[in-house]
Amino acid sequence: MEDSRKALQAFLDIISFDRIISILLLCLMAWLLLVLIQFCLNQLNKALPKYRLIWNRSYPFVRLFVWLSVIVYSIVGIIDPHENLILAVVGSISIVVGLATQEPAKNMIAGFIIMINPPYRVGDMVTLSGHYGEVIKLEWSVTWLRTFDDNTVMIPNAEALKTAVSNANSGALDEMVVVKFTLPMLVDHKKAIALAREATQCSPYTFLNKPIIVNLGNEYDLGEFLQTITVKAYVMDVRLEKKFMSDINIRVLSAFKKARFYDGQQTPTH
Amino acid sequence: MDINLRFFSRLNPWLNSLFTSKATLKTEIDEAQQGQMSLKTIANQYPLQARRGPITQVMLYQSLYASDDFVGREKQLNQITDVINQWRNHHGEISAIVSPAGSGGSSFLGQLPPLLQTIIADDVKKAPMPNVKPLPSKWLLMSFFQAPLGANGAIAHVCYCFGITPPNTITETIAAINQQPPQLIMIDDMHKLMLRMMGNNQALVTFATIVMETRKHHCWIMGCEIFAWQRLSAQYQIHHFIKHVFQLDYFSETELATIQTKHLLDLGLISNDVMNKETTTTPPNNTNKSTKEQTEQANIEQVDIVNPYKDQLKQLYTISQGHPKLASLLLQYSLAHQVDIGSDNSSNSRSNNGIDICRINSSVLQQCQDNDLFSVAEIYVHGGLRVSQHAHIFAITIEQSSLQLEYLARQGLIIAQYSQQDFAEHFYFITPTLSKIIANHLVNNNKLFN
Repeated sequence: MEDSRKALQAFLDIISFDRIISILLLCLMAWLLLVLIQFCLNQLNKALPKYRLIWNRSYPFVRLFVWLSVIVYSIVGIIDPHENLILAVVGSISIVVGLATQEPAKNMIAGFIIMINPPYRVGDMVTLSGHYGEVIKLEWSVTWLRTFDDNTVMIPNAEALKTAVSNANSGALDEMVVVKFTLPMLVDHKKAIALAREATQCSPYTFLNKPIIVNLGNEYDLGEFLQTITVKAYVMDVRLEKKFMSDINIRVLSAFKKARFYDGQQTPTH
Repeated sequence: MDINLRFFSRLNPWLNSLFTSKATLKTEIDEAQQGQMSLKTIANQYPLQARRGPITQVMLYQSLYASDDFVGREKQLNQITDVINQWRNHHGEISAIVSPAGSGGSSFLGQLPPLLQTIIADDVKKAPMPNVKPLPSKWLLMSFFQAPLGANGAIAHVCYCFGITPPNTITETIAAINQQPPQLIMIDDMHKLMLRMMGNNQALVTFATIVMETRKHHCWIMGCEIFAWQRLSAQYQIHHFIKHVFQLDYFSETELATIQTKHLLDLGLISNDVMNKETTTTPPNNTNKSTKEQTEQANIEQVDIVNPYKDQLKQLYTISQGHPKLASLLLQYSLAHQVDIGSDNSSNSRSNNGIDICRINSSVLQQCQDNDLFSVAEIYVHGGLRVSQHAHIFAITIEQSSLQLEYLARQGLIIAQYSQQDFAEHFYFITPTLSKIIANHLVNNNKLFN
């Protein structure tokens, strides 16, 4: 009973008004520092958009470092508790918090692993838990995606480690886009390939430093034999992916129609 | 812990509107008082009469560069001499001069006719060489303003330059060109042959085939813009076919100082006596065979000894980044607006002889949207676009295209050359003096790649 009372008294001594104020001030300073860093990174993004992935990628690490520093300094520098007390408090809190926050803790550990060994970074186009979009924020416990419908999706980090992650650009600004076209079997396939390649080359969003690949295939669908033209080209910026796909469709279909590839094609009947 | 920057983002438009409203009310004189020059002001200084013209006029224009104004590039001139000699000895290969827009690539080509005369004069002094191919008396200059679409277009373009009737097939064309007397051919602005339109692919392939198949008979030297060269290399592997690639860059500080010193002399700000003293210490720059180091040393001496505008020349280099036309414009504008600049700047911030060089206010570029930058990038790489071509490249209507291009012209980023017949034929090109500033911005914004 006496020991418990002493421990309580020691604990009460620790949470003095001065110390609480000091910790709050420290947190405020850390927060302001992070606001400043993020503001600077945003300015850098505006000034040098080409390198936006590099700036954005660094922020999660900076934030982790700053808050870890705040926590360590608060405990060691401000609270400075007795060793026994640390052990007692940490033990008790660990059990309670561990049981209560099993999932968040799991996500935080997953977030830490993702930062150390990243399957994706801020700015990458990924498919996570069935959602496809740009990684806009990478936090300790969750990853934020922005889809092409302009929805913001929050995905727990544990999901990223549990399931397969598809990364379309892996840290680069350009990204391969695949567009498929179907043509009647009678169409001159060599001409179709040449037209598809040139039409893709004409798109102002095509990243011309990388090759344009056009593949020919065939399939049997709706009772007729068809040939497929698959265009694989790189878009200059991942954010233009859908615009680029649409642009390729417009150009290639226009070229095919001008070449009269679809003339005389009957609507399939079931 | 997440940081909410909504407060800052709300504050931003207010701050922007505050600054923008002031900016829109600014006049040229206001800017000059602050020692600045906007992109619009720079665009307005462009001489309208020298924009474009037929080949004969371009030839005359080129001959202007064959004067004493030409500075540097000795190494490249020697390399071209070697290329001509190899061709004469029946080892003809295609050569290319790759340079950023506005760095003096066309001026360099303008130096080739005097170079040819020098080689001919040297030949006269030497003993006759029977196995060597005879030199023509002059160069054949080709400069294209309309990119061909399709094989026939390419054949017609090349045949027009040789003055022959276009045959029906490429084989006949090659045979006809090979029957012509051996020529030294320069193609200026080769990038203008490339166009992001259907049919241009075949035209380029046809053109490349004609050049490749006639390279032993004729000596082909092409000038190309560096970003367009990058595209041609990536898409057509042009570097596989061209053996000699000579790179030009913007001028060094010493070279730029030499050019501007001559301008100062023309303006009467440096006395003739002083310049005469200078020229006795400076070797001639055109046919100079000395090493680059020696020339630079001589140039440094020239500038150091006599030039009272040393500080201004340094400022000019820093602001223009070696762009010769921009440097000349800044110098002339700054001299012409000294009264305005002096009325706002404090005396202690000014240089020792009282002249400050205007800085460039490029805030307009920061306000450009993605679509605008894409348009500017395509205009830059193509060396200019018509409204109809721009509309085709961006898959928009001609009206939309016209409005967008006119907006960019009003910002000073591009210059319009209006057609009297059809607004779809209006021609827009990058303001030549702004080429480096615009290219840097486009590279930073991921719209151009090097």
